[in-house]
Amino acid sequence: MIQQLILNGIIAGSIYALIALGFTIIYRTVKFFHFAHGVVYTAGAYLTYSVFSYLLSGTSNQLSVIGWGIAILIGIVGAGVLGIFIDRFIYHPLRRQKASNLTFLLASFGVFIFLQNLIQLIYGAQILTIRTGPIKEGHQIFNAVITDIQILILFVSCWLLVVLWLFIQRTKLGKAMRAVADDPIAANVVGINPERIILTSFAIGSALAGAAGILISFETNIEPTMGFNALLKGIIASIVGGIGSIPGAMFGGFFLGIAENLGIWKIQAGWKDCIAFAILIVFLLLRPGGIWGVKTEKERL
Amino acid sequence: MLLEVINLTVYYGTVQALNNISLFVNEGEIVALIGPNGSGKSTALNAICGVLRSLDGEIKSGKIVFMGETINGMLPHDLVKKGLCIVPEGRRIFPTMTILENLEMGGYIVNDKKTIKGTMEKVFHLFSVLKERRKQKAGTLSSGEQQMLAIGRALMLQPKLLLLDEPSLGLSPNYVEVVFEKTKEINKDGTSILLVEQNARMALEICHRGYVFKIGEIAFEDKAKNLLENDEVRKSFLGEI
Repeated sequence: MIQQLILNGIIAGSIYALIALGFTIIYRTVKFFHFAHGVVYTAGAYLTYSVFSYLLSGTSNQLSVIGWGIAILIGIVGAGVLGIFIDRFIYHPLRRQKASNLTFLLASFGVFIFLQNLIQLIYGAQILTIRTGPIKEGHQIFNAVITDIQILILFVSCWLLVVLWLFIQRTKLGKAMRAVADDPIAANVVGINPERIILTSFAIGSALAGAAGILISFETNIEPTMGFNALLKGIIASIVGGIGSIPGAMFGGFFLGIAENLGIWKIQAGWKDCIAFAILIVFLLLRPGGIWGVKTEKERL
Repeated sequence: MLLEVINLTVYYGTVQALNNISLFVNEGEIVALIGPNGSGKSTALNAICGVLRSLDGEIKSGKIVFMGETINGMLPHDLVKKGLCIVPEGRRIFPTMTILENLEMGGYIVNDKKTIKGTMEKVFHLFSVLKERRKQKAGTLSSGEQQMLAIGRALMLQPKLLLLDEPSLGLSPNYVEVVFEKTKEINKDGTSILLVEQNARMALEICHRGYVFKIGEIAFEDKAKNLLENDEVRKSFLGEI
């Protein structure tokens, strides 16, 4: 039992980690909570759903590996492009007007609601399912059961986390993103164009949200409102990990996933979301810097 | 003339920070801007290097000419490509990145890896402490070492004109000496320098010419030697009785 709960927690955690990482990458450069991140997650899932349905139309066969690859890739790239659009058409004009953080917050809520309703208008409010093929029995490992789809989720998300980590640590563009996160004015005076870095962050962060939405849609049904809960979990994971910290966001995601699932060992499953919020409150009160112990603005002064 | 500022007036919102100032820097010179706190020295530097807009300031009138080209309103990331580079007040190194990464970021716009490596060797030669600690996070350095890093980072761009904003502020007396020595050395290697300093006496001792600021205007301008001997400057700005 406990092995199964931990495994489920790791799988859920890998999704949370992807959302939190995307959220954190964007937060670090723009320094406000980009709530519309949640709807980008939904959009990624729906885009992949469309590609899947299109490729499957007329056949009753399963999709080939190439078909899977195309559907996932279009979903991820589409989510990245959506992120760029949100920044260019909403946040960029606000930045030029030197809008306050509150304005950005409200704008990002507005984008969230608008796009969620747009998705509902196009696809309808009902639950949709991506036909991933016949349900097969899972594999036994360490007294726990894991399905092929879950292995795919775990593999893809962990691969993305590692690739992103290496990108940010090793590449010139990744380092420039860290420089802007550290001090935007200093980054500007060494020749880094902050607008370019902001755009890159939105592209990468949103692609990660899209990837998370796509992966979860192979496991469960999708609906237009799915982004809200995912966004909350992503934000909680970011805060618990240490807001603005990249390893913190990854670690926070796994921590939250495992804690939620271990929680329902003793408590009813309906209380799962409650566990996440309880953890958030405990951290905010006792360790606001998160697991990674980032310094809050106050401490920095 | 490398840099020429003509009749510059700057406002922060409705507050005037600079009133119709003019100054210039010749090739090969060290020029110092001195004067009390809030007299507009740093504002002048920020206007020249393009940071002003990020600080909510605005050039109301006047002209800034660098190497024959008007650069008013250009942004910092475009100006560094022209060879104009600032070491900002308070050092502003990237604290979570290593010294090596800080220097790499200094050479962000340089695409040739060999050039970057060569320049970095020069920087390490100038500031050997940076080489010893190159893997260390920059936030863990002392303020003096951070200042060395900030200057080193700016040198990675091999600027024609280096702007230094209060480089000795908050440093131990030892490092204040080092900063002024290194400033002279950098200048000898062919980089022109425009220096803003609280420490007026030391600044005037290493520079060729100086401008004395007073509430947004230039009160005196002369060769450094003459300013050091000027009675009024000595009384009002060098703290002598």
